Amino acid sequence: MITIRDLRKRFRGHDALRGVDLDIPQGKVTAFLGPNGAGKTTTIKCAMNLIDRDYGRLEVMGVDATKLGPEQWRRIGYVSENRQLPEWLTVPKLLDYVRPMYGMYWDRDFEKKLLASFDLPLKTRLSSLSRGQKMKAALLSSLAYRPQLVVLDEPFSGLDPLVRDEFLTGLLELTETEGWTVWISSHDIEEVERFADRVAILHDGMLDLQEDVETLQGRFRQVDLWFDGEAALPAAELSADWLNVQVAGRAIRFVESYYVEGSSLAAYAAAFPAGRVQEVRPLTLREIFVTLARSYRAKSSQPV
Amino acid sequence: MAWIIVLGHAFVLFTPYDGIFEDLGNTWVLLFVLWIVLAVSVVRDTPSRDDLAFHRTLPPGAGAAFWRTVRVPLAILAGIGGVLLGYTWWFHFTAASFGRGLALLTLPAVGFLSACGVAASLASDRSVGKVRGWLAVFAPVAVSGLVLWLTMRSLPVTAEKYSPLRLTAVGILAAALCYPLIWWRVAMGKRLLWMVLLASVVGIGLPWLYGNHWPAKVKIPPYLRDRDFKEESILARRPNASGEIPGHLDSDVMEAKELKPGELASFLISANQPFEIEKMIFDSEHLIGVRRAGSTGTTGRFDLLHLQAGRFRDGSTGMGSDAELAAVGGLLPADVDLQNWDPASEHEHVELVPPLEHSQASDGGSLAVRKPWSEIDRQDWFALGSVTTLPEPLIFDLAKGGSAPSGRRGLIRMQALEKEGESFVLKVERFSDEGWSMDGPLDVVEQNSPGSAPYLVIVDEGERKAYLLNGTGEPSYSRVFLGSRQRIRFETGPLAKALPGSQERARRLGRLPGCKLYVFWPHEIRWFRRKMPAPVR
Repeated sequence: MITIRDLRKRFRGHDALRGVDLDIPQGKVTAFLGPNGAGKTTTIKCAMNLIDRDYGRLEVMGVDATKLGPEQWRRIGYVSENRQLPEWLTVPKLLDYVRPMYGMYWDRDFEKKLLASFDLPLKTRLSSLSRGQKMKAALLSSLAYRPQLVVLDEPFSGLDPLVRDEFLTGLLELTETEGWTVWISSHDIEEVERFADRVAILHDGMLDLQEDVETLQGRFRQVDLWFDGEAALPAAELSADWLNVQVAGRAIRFVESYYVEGSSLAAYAAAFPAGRVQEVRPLTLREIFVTLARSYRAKSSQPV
Repeated sequence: MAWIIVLGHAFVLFTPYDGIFEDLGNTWVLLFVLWIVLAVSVVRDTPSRDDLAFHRTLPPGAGAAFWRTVRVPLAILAGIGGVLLGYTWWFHFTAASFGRGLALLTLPAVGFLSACGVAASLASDRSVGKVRGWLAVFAPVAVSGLVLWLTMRSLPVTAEKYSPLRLTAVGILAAALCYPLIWWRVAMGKRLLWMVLLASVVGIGLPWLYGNHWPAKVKIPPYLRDRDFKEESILARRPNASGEIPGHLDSDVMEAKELKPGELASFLISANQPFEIEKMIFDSEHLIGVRRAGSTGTTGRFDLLHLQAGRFRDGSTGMGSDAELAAVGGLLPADVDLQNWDPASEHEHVELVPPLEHSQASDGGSLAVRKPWSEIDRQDWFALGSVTTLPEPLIFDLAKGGSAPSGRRGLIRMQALEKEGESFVLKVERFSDEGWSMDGPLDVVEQNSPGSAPYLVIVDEGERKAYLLNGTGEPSYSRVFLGSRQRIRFETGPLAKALPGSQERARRLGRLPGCKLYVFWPHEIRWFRRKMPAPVR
């Protein structure tokens, strides 16, 4: 659905994107993760032709992003945390305003269903709604025409847990029933791990990984080693695939990023002959993300 | 804001306040402030370059958003056009005047508003920012203008004439054509860098587009701007007259020739002076000519006597008030007896009043010395004037007043007769768009050209009498948009002095409210110039 190759963008001397290659496959929910300032919003805005890219190829629905026209926009739903809604309108007026733009794509029944489920006040201007209510209104106006591509840029930012949960539940239902392509960005993995099929992690303007969740979770393991005496790291350099290695008393703990049944255990034994494997367990998506975030921080703090 | 701009134009155009253009002065700058605010406001509602704008990801796209942005300004321009249409229709101005007015009112607005639109659109781009957005458009104009001004100031020839804020017709047209196009392309997000460069090039070039100031101010009436008058033998000394023109001028000495029936020649007799004098000033102190008896020639008003010569429909000719009475009388109902309102005016004594010796004229820079009386050669004398015809009169009820189109263009309006003490006051004004040109309005001086004054005749239909109003004086001029307003005021008061008996006076005044006013506003055919024999001192 979206193809990005070697995307570059510079803001006043700062390289925000340094050659991003990313694919958003059709029919899947892709979580776009990364710490604040990684370049997620910049990438999305380039894809939505909201800002000009400096270099690279970027296609959305088979069309260059700079040439997105009415036909494409009728099939794209875009919601962003800072997007400026016409705040002098009420929710019904907002829907009345956008509805004619989508013509036959707009589903009145679906609109009513969403309106009921979001439970928004109908006589209050958008300017007087809470942040969560505004996001719901934005979501409503962007989903009622059943878009093929849903792009959500930090949609849960600033929402309280209850509203966030409502959002996620509703979004999960819709993605399962409608089969939409969803591209959702967040700096918090917890928000998206429930329904993400695929993960892409951006760090410092470059894509660190993009992978299906199943595959990702399949290769990450939390490894705990136990020693009879005081645990110590071996003199030889450890595998680069072992992240966040920690020594605590008699234990050594690290995250294996490319676990292979059998051969990985042999590698642990070879590297730590005095130790024994106490536990090798899968990680949640959140734990994987935290691990990676820590490893990025560790790399950036190392002297060059 | 839109209503303020449109209604403001309507107020200025239609207000009867005479000094409005002078009192407005430089307040037109406020209009440009309004345009800036308007541009910022309309762009803010639909910012074309803002990545957070709601409309950016809606199907209609940038084109529809740009239309939303410009529809209010377009409506304002249409409103101004509508106001102007009403104005030109009301005053019976021509379509050409409407076109000029539309260009004058809208082209600068289009150029300036569009430039502000480009700046505001660029400023809406967060990566550009407000300051850089506005500087990108207006800094080139300002810097280029400053460079030009500093350059021109260093040249003595142009230092006095060049102003840093110079508007030229070419520049305004260039801005009105280029900036809207740039605004549109910037709003559509096409070739942004090229458009910014183009805006900079246009901005740099604007101050250098040479041309006349627009609108221009022409202080010299047309009949003096143009020196190439046709030398005509309209006036000549009668074959049996001897010597030069005596102290008084009458038909014993001169006759009208080469006039067609119904034509009236109005002229003044003056002496040639150094060209610099004539170019610089138009003040009776420095003119030598035939004046009305009792005139000192030292006042600030141009009071050289306007004389008349006419050929009547029966082929005969006449001079002075005889010519006027015959010309006017020929257009009144046949059984109406025409006479002068003031009997004393029928025998006006004209004499030559010598001017000041060695007077000087200055336009603030150059100085020229007029020829003294003793050095003026006989060959320097000439008659200068216009040939006119009188159209069918416009007829008004004195008690009610009214307005009517003046021929093919313009409007004549008469206010209802007013009583001021023992006297009645008649006020007639004419709005005309003649004399305007694409150079702009005439800065009309309060001086009349020979032959431009109207003839006012009070007709008492009951008694079948008509009175030609003498002593109305020359019309006073004031500016209106696209034209001028000439005003005539006549008071019946002096009648008390002229008529020996109060009975006749009281009778005439008593019947006035029931009378009609016939207004003859001469139609100018051509100007002429004729060498004259020098008057005897």
